[in-house]
Amino acid sequence: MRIPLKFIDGRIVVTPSISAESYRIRYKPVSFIVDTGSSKSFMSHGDALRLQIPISSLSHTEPLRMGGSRYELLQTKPFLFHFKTEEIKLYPIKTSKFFVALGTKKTEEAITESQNFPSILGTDFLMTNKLYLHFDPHNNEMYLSIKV
Amino acid sequence: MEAIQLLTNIERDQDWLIANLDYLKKNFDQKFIAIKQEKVIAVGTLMEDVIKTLTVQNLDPSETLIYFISKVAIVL
Repeated sequence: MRIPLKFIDGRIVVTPSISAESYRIRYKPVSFIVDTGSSKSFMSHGDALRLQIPISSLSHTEPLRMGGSRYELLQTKPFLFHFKTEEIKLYPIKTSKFFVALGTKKTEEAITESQNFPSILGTDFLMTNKLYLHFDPHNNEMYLSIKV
Repeated sequence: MEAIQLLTNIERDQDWLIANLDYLKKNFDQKFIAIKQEKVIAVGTLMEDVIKTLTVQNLDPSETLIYFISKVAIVL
């Protein structure tokens, strides 16, 4: 089974829909950069605002340094991802928790930077959910595959 | 709206974004833009500005492609 990816401005992007009962979120699309250089997966501050996730109620877990800035990872309640496959079906992946990355600095510039930092699907998500990344930009072939 | 339809709509707007990236970088550098049905429908410096504009238009931000345009590459 294959999940097609898009190549947007030099980055590999997957857009699943996300549901989270605790936050009354149902099938809302969120774009993630597939980043094999990141060991952590998280939703950006901007996407959390867009989905109206109550950021102030999330618990702090650990600091994170990305792109030269410091972030705090905040833990969410369970998320249910639905990925659209090549066959136009939904492939579900449930996570017991997920994270939102919030910039630690509170200046206007830092807040803008925190909001525009992208959501990331890193190696933790790929490994836990047994996803394989295929990336062949020369033939415009890029997808996640699942062994079922 | 059904999940698959929502994802299909977002993919169409992503394709439009890819096709028009040079134009968007030239005109909306360092801005958040909202794209719906292959049109820029809101622009703002902060995500909250775009969310507010969409809400005023009775559009759901959670079902809209919002993208930060930057001429400067972000290295993760």
